Amino acid sequence: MLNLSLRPLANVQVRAVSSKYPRPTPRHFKRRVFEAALQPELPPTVSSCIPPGLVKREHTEKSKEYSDVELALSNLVRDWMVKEEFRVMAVCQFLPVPGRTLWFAKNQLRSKNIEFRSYGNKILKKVFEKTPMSSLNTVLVGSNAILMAKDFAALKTILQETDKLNWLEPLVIMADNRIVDMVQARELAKLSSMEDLRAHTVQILGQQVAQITISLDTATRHLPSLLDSYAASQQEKQ
Amino acid sequence: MASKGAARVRKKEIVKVVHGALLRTNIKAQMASAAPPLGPQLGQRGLNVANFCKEFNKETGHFKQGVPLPTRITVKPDRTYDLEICTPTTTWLLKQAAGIGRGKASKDEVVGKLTVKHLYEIAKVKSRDKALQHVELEQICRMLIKTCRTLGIEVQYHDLDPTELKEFLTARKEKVDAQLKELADKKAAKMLRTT
Repeated sequence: MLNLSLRPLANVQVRAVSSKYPRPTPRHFKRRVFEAALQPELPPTVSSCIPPGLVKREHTEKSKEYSDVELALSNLVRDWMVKEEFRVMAVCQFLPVPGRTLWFAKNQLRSKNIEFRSYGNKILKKVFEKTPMSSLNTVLVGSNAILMAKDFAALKTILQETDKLNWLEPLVIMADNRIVDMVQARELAKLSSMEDLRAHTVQILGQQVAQITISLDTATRHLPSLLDSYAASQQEKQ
Repeated sequence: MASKGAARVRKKEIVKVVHGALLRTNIKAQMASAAPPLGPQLGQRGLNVANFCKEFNKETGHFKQGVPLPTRITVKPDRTYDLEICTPTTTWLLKQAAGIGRGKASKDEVVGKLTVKHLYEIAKVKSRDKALQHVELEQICRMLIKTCRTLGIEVQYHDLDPTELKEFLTARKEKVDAQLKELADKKAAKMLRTT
């Protein structure tokens, strides 16, 4: 008799002490009633759905905003560019490279009066804002760096140096306020000096002027003979 | 038996460390030796340690003994090497100029005083380094100012007052002695984990 009455109790104890056995699901109705009675009374929770794409949109909007530090840096970079009076700027694709190699390459470029800077596209876009350079924004994708030089002849040096470095590829060059694509830049680099171009232009302009003088001269020269022949023909008629 | 054999095979799994070609270390002038840490570093890269030490000590003969020199060793595949010995470390130069032996131990602690003239002279010395060639002197000076901040050295524009500096250094020496004594006590009490 005692055995029979103790059996369920023993079962319960075994279940209670061991976590090896899974709890019966659904729970016994008595347990459910017990839990329902003990359930705390809480205000009903309102579940709200996040519209699809909202998180991403918020993230992109936030990444477009400029912090105070970024604005200060862009101002600093702009002032530096104006102060140093750079004339040539090359926007390059900048691939990952060991720090030591990069440091030595930067120093090497500096020895040839070319300044290497890598600020990130966000800063550069802010620097170029409201200037003719803003059209360069299309190439500012991915990892970029800029090379700056004060002399127009440095265009050739920039091309020569970037050809040596396999982690730096020029995408577009800006000379004064004109954008020069790479094909044009390579053609310009073939010239021994930029003075050649100037001489060539002067020559072309000189030719035009000379041509005009010659053309005007021929008309004046021909006029007396034409008038003479006209007069002679009139006399013959009379 | 088979299981024993398998266990023996499993036991030995040595991962071979592949070292880069460049080894950057600070070695004290005329004091290169085959003892750790330099000896094993070179040995792992397959260099002849004795020859290296001999060459290094000969090359650094014009330096005062014990000056820490940043050294760059480029190891080639045929186990020959290129040795590049730079000018003494910036921290050492700054400490020497400031007349101190110990940097700051806590935040906002001033351990020494230097003027911009000192920094200019140190910058001129450092500009001889291969890594700092074609770097503007102003840029090097800026780097030095940053290092001064790390060390806790105050940089000022105006010249130092000798009497004021002497007082400062005396007070500082007492403080450093107290710090070192405290450290030694802690070490004696085995409160610090030294190993």
